[in-house]
Amino acid sequence: MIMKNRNIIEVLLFGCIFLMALSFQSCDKQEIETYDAEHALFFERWKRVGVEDVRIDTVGYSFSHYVGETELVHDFKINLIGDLLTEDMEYRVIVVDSLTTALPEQYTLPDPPIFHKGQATDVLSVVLHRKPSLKDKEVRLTLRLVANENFGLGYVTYTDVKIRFNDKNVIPLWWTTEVKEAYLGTYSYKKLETIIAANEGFTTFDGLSDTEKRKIALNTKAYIALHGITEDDNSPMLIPMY
Amino acid sequence: MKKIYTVFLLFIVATMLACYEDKGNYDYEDISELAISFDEYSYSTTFGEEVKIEPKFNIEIPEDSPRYSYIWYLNGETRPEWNKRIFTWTADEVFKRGNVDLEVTDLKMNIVYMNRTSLNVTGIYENEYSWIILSDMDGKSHLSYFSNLEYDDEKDEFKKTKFYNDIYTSVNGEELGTGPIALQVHFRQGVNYKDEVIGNVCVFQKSGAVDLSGESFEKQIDMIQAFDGGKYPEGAIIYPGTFMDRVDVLSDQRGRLYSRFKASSYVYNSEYFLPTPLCYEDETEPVEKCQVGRGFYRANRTGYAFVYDGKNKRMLYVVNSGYSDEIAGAGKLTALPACGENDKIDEIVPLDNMNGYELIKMAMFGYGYPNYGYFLLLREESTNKVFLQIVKVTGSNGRPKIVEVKLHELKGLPGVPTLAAFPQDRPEYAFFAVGQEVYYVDLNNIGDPVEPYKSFNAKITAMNAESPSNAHMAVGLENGEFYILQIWNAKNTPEEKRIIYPVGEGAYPADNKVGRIVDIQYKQLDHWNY
Repeated sequence: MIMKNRNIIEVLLFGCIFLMALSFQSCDKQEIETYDAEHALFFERWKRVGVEDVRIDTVGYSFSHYVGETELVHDFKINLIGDLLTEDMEYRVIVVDSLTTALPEQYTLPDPPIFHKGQATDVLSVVLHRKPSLKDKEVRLTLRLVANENFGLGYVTYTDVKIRFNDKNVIPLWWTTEVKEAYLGTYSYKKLETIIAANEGFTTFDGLSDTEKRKIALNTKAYIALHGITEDDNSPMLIPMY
Repeated sequence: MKKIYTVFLLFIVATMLACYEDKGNYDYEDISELAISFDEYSYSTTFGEEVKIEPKFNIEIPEDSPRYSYIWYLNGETRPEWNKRIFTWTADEVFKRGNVDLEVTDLKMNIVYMNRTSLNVTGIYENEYSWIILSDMDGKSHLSYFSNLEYDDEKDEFKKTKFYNDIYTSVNGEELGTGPIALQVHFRQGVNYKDEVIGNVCVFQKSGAVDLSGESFEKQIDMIQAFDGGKYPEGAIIYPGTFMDRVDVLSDQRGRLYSRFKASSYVYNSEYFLPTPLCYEDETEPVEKCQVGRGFYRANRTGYAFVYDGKNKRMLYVVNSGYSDEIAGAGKLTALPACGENDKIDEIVPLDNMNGYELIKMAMFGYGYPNYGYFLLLREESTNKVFLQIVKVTGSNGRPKIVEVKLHELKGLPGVPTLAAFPQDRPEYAFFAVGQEVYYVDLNNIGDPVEPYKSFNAKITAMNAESPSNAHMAVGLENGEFYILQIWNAKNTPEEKRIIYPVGEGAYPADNKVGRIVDIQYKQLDHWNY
């Protein structure tokens, strides 16, 4: 019986010591990291498209979908934390070598990149070049915001953006099963060229209404009939829209 | 000892109970218990019309008896004036299956008696057996509405009707347009089973088609707004076609076809008709001189509509979206085979080659889901003989299969009919207009010559027999007169009982003359018209 009481006393004693230790710990003053810069930047990561959130810090381009184009421009959206600027200010973006396979001749970055005064958001415009070195290849370009004397970093994980681009004959992402079965039929690069030729300014089915999609398909169908276009193997170029 | 004590106690209690004085009142009085009843299980009226409900009682109650007071409740609410023995109300709201409660208080006995009946108040333009009339008044389009307010089903008689002359101008405060062509009622899908869809009414006219609410006749859109870019195809005047769930097809004066794929079947108008005329399958020349079988108002039951390609003299069909609402294949024109598997091709007019015949009229009918059919009224060009070819079809979801094709010569007609009207549900008769005369043929004895049904005092310019239960046919004349004929039992109906509107023998009511009648459509109240 005495033995049992002694055990209880020991447990209580250790518990009190532990609690005291915790109390002392909470009294310890710890330095909290704060953002020293007046302004900070971060890349926009998501965009609401219809009912879905679409990631916009990682994008892809294929020059094969832009017949005749030698340059493509992509704007990454950058957000400002802090008061609006009263004058234009430079910020700093670096190419992350370890995550980049694109050659310097295949892209151009603004030099220097400027965040313009009086606005809460701005864009980083990246120009992609269709160089012979890109033919039949796909490359990756990773860009990273880094702090400078004007701007700190807004959110640590929102500092990088990526572009994959190529000059390969690949099916556009928007050429979905529905597009194939209802509007345009089986993909071929020649058909894509024909669609673009028949529909001035056309680049993608994304974001188009059903009527606009129908128009593109029917314009293409009429264009094929008018010019007697066939697939490369002389089979009929079919558009299953009526 | 304990037992004796217990028995003694029980005895004492029982003795005391016997001494209790019962002060109850057993002098029963006859309170004349009241039972309330109504002539009808459910009453109906139309918005703006007066309804009277007179209760019946099991005992005689003098009209001026002070012993009873009355309070009527309509859907739980009462009004000061609803304290009479007879409920009288000029309907100022629309509802279905409303409750009408009568409370009768016996003031002498202070007892309240209650009973309930049901009341439907329909919109002004939502009555059964009612018709829409499009006419030409000196070149102007003129829309009128015949409203049945009360009908005696047993006697096949209208008891109360109202004729709304020039309803469009009354409702919209503007003129409808010019050059009337035709009417077409079309529907949307109900959002849920409670959604009672009253179809829109599309008025086609040379000045431009307009789409009207079927509930109010208010203009919803000019149909030009439903075309891509807000303009009609170059030089096109838009004519009726078919409105299906997702795919709508309209025609023009050349019989070219234009389609739109609606974004949703729950709305009347969405997305746009394209100016590109439709082609047959992968042909590059648009089809022309087409007639579109209007088909069912809710064509998703069939998923297709017949199209007569007049340029190539062949029957095609156009499909709605697929079973899963997919767009693939929607709007495609497909050829029908020449005939059914068991038909003898030399005994019919092949559907894939109708050379030598003119299609006068095409109309769809049903004979139990998923069995449908088309009447093709044909004129043999070399002889002017008139034939009725009946094409029976089965299948739905855009896959019609020809069951049989039968060709019948119509004998006894004095000339080539200009108009024909066919009831829709398992029809037993078909009607033809030649000049001022209506003829009918008994489809169960189709080899017999046609019989005259009714003669009018002016040329017949419109006929429609799409009323429910194949009951009525409306006839419009060149002189603006509008008639309703009883047709469900045509061959057994005496000549003098065939016209059921206007009622009576007198002169045609001058107020109901509407110019030259161009088209008449039954005012369909829902899309389940089969």
